[in-house]
Amino acid sequence: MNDDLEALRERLRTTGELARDKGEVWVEKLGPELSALPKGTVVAINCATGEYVLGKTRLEAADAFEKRFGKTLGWVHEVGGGVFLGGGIV
Amino acid sequence: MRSGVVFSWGEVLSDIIGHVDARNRPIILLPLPNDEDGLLVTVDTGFSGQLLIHDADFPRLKCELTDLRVPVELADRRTGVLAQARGRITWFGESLAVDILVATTERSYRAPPDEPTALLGTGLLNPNRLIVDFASRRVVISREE
Repeated sequence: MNDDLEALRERLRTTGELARDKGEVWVEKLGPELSALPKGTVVAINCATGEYVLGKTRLEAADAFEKRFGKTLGWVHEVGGGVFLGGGIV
Repeated sequence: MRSGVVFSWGEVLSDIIGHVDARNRPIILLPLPNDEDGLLVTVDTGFSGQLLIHDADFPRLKCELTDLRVPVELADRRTGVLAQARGRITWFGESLAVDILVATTERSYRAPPDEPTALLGTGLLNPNRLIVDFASRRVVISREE
């Protein structure tokens, strides 16, 4: 395995864990506010501040997130349920 | 059978043709802008996103990683976290911006050249028609206007 891949893998793993830890707390805090949004709305939450932007798709939410917050870690919450990956990843 | 594309009339692309491989996986060759080889993908109706790749294949797709992380629900009700990236594919003859989820798993390896590199999910299939004919080993995605 090359060093670039190892670095990428480590970066994705650590940012994923951090985003989940912070993101789930914000989703809990923002609960009533978020659940009032239309089903299917994509919410991209700034993990540091709890501020968020909305999109109809993940791409739209990602664009809005970068425009508003720049380079900062975010957590995606999809109202009514998010990505299902039946085959699974182990 | 070779995966390919079909023009119905003029330059309007109506069908994407693939095949069922020896492991009974529905496979299509997804054209990529500025990449002659394209991307071999498994059509997975159990995946609700658009495209999913493993980190080992991330450089191959020339996509851009975002700072968003996305929770996913697995079949056994466990949850995972994937990174979100954006990229472009050629879909029914037209360039399309797509949402790509990147999985990080230890011990995963880069897909061999003749093996599918990604999963294509219902986020791309919807609202089109998918036919997987195991009898004829043929896969057809037809555009619904």
